Parts: sequence; structure tokens; C-alpha cells
Amino acid sequence: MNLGLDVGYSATKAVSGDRRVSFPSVVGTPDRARFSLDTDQAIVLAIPDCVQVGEEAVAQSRFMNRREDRRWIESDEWYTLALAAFTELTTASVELNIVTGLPIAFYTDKAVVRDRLLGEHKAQREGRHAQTFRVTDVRVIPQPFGALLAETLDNQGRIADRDLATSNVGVVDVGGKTTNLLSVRHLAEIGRETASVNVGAWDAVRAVHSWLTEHCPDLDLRDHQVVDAIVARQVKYYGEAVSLADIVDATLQPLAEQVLAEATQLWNGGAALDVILISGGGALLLGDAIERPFRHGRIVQDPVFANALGFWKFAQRL
Amino acid sequence: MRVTKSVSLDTEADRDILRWLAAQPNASEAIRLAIRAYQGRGSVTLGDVYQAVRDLERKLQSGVVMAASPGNEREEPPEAAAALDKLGL
Repeated sequence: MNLGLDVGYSATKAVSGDRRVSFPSVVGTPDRARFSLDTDQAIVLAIPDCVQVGEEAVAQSRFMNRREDRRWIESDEWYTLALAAFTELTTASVELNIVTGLPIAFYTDKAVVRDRLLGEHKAQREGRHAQTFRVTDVRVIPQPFGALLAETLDNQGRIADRDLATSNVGVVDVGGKTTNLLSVRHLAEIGRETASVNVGAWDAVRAVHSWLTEHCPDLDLRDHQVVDAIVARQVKYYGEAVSLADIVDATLQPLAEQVLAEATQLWNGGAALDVILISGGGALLLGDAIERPFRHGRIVQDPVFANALGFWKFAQRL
Repeated sequence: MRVTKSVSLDTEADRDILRWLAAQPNASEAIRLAIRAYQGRGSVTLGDVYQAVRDLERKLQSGVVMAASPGNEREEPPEAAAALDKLGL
């Protein structure tokens, strides 16, 4: 089974064929609601560790782990998220060929990711039989290539968009912690025009969280709930809607400008590029502000899943 | 949002399905997977495959089939295809 895996700081996404899964990159203690009719939606692993993952962890876990450092890929949480994604995609024991990505700034760590994923992995979801995943091949590519490959390749992994494959393309991939800027020509990376900016969607989350602490002090939202509030541009406080429009705009604009400044400098204004693709979960927050100044910029289809989809399409080719 | 759908099964006529469902650790998940597998099957039936083989047989007998040129198999831009082959290595 070919699998595109994108374990991001904010969300984990995986694609295999028509199957797509996404959940917050949160691992927590397996605390459950005392009365719940919605039990089979929770991702609770019994093996290798007894933990709860994703939405239910955000909602129910008393203690949660969410990391944002480079060595995250060596952590138990990262490994748990990968296993949880496998068990979300299939209930069977299967052989996997995986394509995944790393931020450009951390791309030299690709051997670490490869070594962690290769080989046999056992997992058991609560209420299910144990599963064994035998990972026979792993290819780690620069993260933003995923969105480009999603747009360029067909479901068999063949080049379907010849124009895009032979163009000068810029990719702005807005992640949770970093934004990756990639420039390619004929699908080959142009190293001098490729960089990472230490700006991501979590910067906006932190800023809005801090505003909420001051203005709605009795509201104790978790990070992923703040993301929902930013997208909705409002939050409920004692039953009353509190508009976040002003603080969201005031937060997102300078972040977008920081990305734009770096992209403009790196790509010398961007006029030599044929198209600029904007992708990543952060595109939902910063995409419009980044797209506006570039007349040839466009947010890719389904920016949250674009990297994982491109990884899967590339796996189909290998 | 969670949606619940009721399905009626006959204890005699659908005995095989009931037995299979009882053996599943998570019946809802098993049904979802079965439906997705059915959807992914597309609309190709055994009859379609048989018909395609018969058509091919007829073409071979009438001599209208030409061997495809090897060059047509890969119409990808060579430079881009080469870059993809090296990606991540």
C-alpha cells in the first residue's frame, strides 16, 4: 500500500488512494468522557503505548504533548502520530511504501525519518485486532514539493500537467511553525531560491491566545480550539459572541508581510516565476494575504492535504 | 456530525452477512470499509472484461491491431522526469 504521510506540528495528514485522514498532532492521556455516544471516532492506541490522539485528545485528555522543536521527529509523540495515521487508513496488517516530507531547514535530518519508519511496526487500536505494518520503502522529500507534485502528477504518479512540470514555479508552504519557500525549474529545486522562514500559523495562534487571556480571562482554550476561533473570527464567552476580526487581522497581516518580504527578496520580486503556489494548513489563515500581492499566485486545491496528496502520488510513481 | 443509519437484515436470507458482522471487532468501521471498497471498485463488471477480451480477439483476427511504439509509453518531459526520479535520494 502506497502512503503519503505528512506529520506536521499542527496536524497529521495521510493519504492512500481515496482515503484521506487528518487529525490534530496531539498525543494525550487516554481520558474519556464519562458519557459518550461517539466512542468509535476516538483514536485510542493500546499498543505501543496507551494514549489518545487527535481531536479526542484535545477535548478529553488531562495531559497532552505537543512539541515544536527540530528533534520532534525523534520523539515518541511523532512515532505515535505516524502509527495513528496508519491505523486510521486501514484496519488490516499491510506492507507500506511511504513518501513523507521534512521542512527545508531540517531536510538534512531525512535519514532519521527514514530509519524511524523503515521496518516492522506493531499497533493496536482500542476495540480492534493488533496490526503489523511492514514499511519496505521510505522516500523523504522537501515538504513543499508535496503541493507541487499534487498539482503536477496524476493518480498513477505520471506527469499530467506538462506546463507546470516544465515551468519556473515558486511554492509558499505555510506550516505550523515554519513557512517553506521553494523554487523549482523542470521539477528540480533551485537551491539559492529556496529557504525557510520562521513564521507559521502557530505564531498567529499564540498572539490570539494571548489576546484572549487578557480579554476573555475565564476562557481556557487549547491551541487547536484557538485555530477554530481564528478561522471563525469569533469566540463565545459566557454565551456571547466576541468578535476576533480586528485581532486576527492585526496578527495575520504582519506575519504575511514577513513571508512576503522573504519571498520577494529570495525570488527577486517573483516576476521570473511562471506561477506561485500557496499551500499548507497555514494557507487557510495567511493564504489570502500572501496571494494578493502576487498576480500569478494561487492557493492550491485543498491546501491542508496538498502535501500528503503529492507524497502519495509520488509514491505511486516509485 | 455523527449520523446513524438503520439497516434491515433477514435472519435467514442474510445469515452470511449477520455472521460476518458478528465477527467484526467494529461493525460500523467494517461496513464503512466495505462500502468504500465497493465504491472504489468502479463500474467494471466481469461481463465488461469478457466483452473487452472478445473485442480484442476480433481485432486480432481481422489484423487491425498495431504494436504500440515504445516511445509513446512515456510522454513525460525528460528533464522533469529525470528530476523526479532523483527526488529524495
